[in-house]
Amino acid sequence: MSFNHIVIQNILRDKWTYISYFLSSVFSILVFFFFLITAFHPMMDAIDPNSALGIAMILCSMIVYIFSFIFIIYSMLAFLKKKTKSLGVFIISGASTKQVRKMVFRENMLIAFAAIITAIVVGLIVSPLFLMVVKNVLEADSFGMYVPVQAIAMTVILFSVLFFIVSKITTRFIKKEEAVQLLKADVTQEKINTSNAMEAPFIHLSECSFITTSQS
Amino acid sequence: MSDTILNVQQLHKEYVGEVNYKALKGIDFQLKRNEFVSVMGPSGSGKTTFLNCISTIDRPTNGSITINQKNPYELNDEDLAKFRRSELGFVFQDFNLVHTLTVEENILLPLTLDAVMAKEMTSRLAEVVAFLGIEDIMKKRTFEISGGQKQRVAIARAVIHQPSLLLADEPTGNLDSKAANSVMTLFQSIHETFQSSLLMVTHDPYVASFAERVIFMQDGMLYNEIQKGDHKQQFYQEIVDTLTFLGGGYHEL
Ligand SMILES: Nc1ncnc2c1ncn2[C@@H]1O[C@H](COP(=O)(O)OP(=O)(O)OP(=O)(O)O)[C@@H](O)[C@H]1O
Ligand SMILES: [Mg+2]
Repeated sequence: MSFNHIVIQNILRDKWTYISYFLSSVFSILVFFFFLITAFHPMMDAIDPNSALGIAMILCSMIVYIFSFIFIIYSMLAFLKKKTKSLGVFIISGASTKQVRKMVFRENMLIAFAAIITAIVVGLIVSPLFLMVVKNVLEADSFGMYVPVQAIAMTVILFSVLFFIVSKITTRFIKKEEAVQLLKADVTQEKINTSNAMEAPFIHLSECSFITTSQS
Repeated sequence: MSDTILNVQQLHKEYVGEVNYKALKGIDFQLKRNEFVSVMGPSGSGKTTFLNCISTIDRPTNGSITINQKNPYELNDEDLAKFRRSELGFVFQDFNLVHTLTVEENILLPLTLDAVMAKEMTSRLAEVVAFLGIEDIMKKRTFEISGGQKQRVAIARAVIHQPSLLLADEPTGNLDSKAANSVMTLFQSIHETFQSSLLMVTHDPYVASFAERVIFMQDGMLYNEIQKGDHKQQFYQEIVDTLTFLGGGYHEL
């Protein structure tokens, strides 16, 4: 058995713990991606010569990006609390704080990449529909599907950076606490944490709808 | 090599919180190499605290603990982890298995964290598993096995790296008497076969009588100790008598 095997099993066999976190990550990436697809559309210049609309779209995506930072840090921490007890079990089995951090970091990054890929694929499938809506809103003559290379590249790069930074920050929160406190954690925290994990996606949804409504 | 594996001197532990509480008030204790000792005492007398201080998972307020001539509390995080992997094995009342791993993966955990070669893992696993008689459940998840089986798995995980000191906190606390008996028989044969030193907390005089010596705690101090004589039955009777004498709400639990 290898270290990475543990990391993968922790995710695969604990799907339901990870799913809300995964889905809401996918959602923020998707929103970001749609803004960029519109912003970088080849017809954009023709419709809007002084490119005010394009710039607005990019601004929106950046706001989504910043909110994603806050939101993803928040849900990773909630998530970490939920795992406290099992981290304690790893420590009594002989893991060092460094190993525990490495394990959590890799778990986070794996989920991050899965979320980015899922968001891009879903985004590409849904974007013709989305662009049709945009076309009607803008009353443009042609605003069809294109291959959004720029949007894909920016989404992948910016969200990889985001997840990397956030994972580094949150694993710093794993301190050299006495193992006994970690093992006892489930007794004292379980109630609070389950409610946190349930709330997270909804808080995020309301954040996003706040952003989109304030744009229109 | 000294024949003392564990040396505890003037161990104090004070829990600091809204109200401070002195759980251990100066304990001196030695465990000899290859000795099996039970710890008994009323609920709240500090047994778990005592064991947690020794097992390096809860820092003492004062006093010294040396295991194999080393003071684990002087080590940095990395070395402390290595120390736990090489010198210590833990067994708890509530098993503490990792629920995302199978039985086999749980047992291999200490070796994986130590980056042991696959070949050695396989051979050590085979040895431990045969010894504990858990071949049939190796691929199962931790929620698919019984309490007695869980405790066997926890024991396997605790001994696979051949620790010099095995610590157990009420290992039979969640088991019925049949499962408790078989777990204790197991502890005894581990003790005899692998020459490991054992320190075990228990409430059950019968379970305690598997040891060679029983120490009694009361109010954070050592109160008394009994050495096993020639007869297990007589040993058991002496334990029960001492507990009755200690009285004071022993059965309140
Ligand atoms: N984290 C803590 N904070 C404050 N007080 C504590 C803490 N843990 C234990 N205590 C107190 O220390 C005393 C000793 O507790 P300990 O758990 O060592 O008892 P014990 O002998 O193991 O009891 P039991 O037989 O019920 O398991 C108790 O009075 C308990 O209330
Ligand atoms: Mg206890």
